[in-house]
Amino acid sequence: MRNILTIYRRELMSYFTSPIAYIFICAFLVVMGVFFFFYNPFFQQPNPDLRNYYSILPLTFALLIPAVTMRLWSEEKKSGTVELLMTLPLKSWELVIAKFLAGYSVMVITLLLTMTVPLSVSLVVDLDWGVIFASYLGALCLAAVYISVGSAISAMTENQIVALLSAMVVLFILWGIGFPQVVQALNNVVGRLGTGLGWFGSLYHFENFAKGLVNPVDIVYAVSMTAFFLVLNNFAVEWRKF
Amino acid sequence: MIEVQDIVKRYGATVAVNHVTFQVGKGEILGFLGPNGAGKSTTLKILTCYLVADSGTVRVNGFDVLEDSLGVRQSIGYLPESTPLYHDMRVIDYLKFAGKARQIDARALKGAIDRVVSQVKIERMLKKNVGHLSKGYRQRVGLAQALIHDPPILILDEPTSGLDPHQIIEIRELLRELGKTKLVLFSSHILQEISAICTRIVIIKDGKLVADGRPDELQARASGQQIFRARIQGPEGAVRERLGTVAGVESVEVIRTTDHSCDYRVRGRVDCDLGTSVHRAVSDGGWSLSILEPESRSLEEVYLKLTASRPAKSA
Repeated sequence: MRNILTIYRRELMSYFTSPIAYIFICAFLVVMGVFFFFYNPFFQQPNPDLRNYYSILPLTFALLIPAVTMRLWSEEKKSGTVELLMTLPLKSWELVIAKFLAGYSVMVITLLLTMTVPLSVSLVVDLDWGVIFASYLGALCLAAVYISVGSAISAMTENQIVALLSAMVVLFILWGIGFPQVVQALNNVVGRLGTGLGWFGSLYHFENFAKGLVNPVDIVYAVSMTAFFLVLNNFAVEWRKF
Repeated sequence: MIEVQDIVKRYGATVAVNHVTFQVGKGEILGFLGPNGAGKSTTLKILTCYLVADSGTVRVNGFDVLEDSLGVRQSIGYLPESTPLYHDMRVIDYLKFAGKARQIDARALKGAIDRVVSQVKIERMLKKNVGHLSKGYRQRVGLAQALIHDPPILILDEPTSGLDPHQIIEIRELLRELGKTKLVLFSSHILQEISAICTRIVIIKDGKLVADGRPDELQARASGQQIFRARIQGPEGAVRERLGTVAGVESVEVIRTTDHSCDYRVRGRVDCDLGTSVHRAVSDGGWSLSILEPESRSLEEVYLKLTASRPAKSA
């Protein structure tokens, strides 16, 4: 645990000693703000609630989270510091977990900042706080999955741009595969396997949270997907030795 | 302390390390010498657990690199080539990070940092960002992180590469000092570097170990013949003729002539007592001998001979 904390602190510090975290947080809040005010504007809705606001989270995550994860391993490989890191007396899974937690922390801080929207809106409109907290729980689950995907991809290349674009493509697929239309199209091509593939889509699970439903299956989805990609990340780190 | 047994490492079709075997003991400063691309860095990466050899075994400080990799990594201080450091950290923060990552107790960390800071002389740089330091100071910070846990084994990949002459001398002095209490293994493709401080040299070429021994041993072994320089007062023609008949002598050449004497280079086989034979021949001829000394090949000649590329055979 102490080793994880040591690496975690360094990683988190490096986000905030460079402009990356600040630019990411600003970009995220701007995208969410634009959506709140201009796309299906909140104050023009007949029965205003924040369901629409939170429904954009999966796509925003898919587009912006790769900017947080791209540097996690690629930068270490490019600068050569991975050689020092991997020759320290630390287990590779400790490094994987620490880096994941650092990226995840940036996301948690960003999500905390988005809470200014429901807090200020609640001054003029009665909000269903159960739905809002479920949406945040869903967002935290989704962020964990997406950060683990991005980190695993970052461990496979030393080029940050490649890591960024590859993660965007994978996360976009992971987001889109949950759409009913996509599932239907897949069913037409591969039979009932399409429905199974649709289950892996993040949208499919996040929609339940956005409706205020906390289904253990959706939490199991997030935990198992995150665990799978962290194991893949560890494998990519270890494979480099051979 | 380091036992390398028949290791092989391939990158695709290229054999980077080809059946290399050597041992290094405590108190030795081992120079790992070879041309660029010879396999030096790959070998060091295997010793430090950064890479895994395709075959062969490596034990460092009694730990197997595969079975007890953490034990190996705790026993070594390692500075990779080009000194990769986190440029966004202050020197002091970086050293704290390196110490904690090497499981140094919080109470002992300050003492450990003070020790390495004074060892590598970076007292004035502690508050600066690593990225703002000169190449020489970065190298020192790299050495400091390698020394922070006071490891019994220090492995350095081209530690003086890119430094100016003053910095090179300072790093050499430091390595010499460290070599008194630790096993120091460092690689270089610069011969003067190795010959200046190493007690033992391993030369590697095309992934193969081509020589292993003390500098003087390598010089004698690579030469393949004895060479003596003799200053003799006597008629040049008669002296050359007489020396040419001495048992074991292969060639005699005049290298300097004055009014009173000539200097000769006498080359002979290694299996005879060439010095005594030359001395006796000069005495028998009734001439006088003012200088008789062995000439050895320079380490540079040895290195060039061992690492020279063989000319391709024409079809």
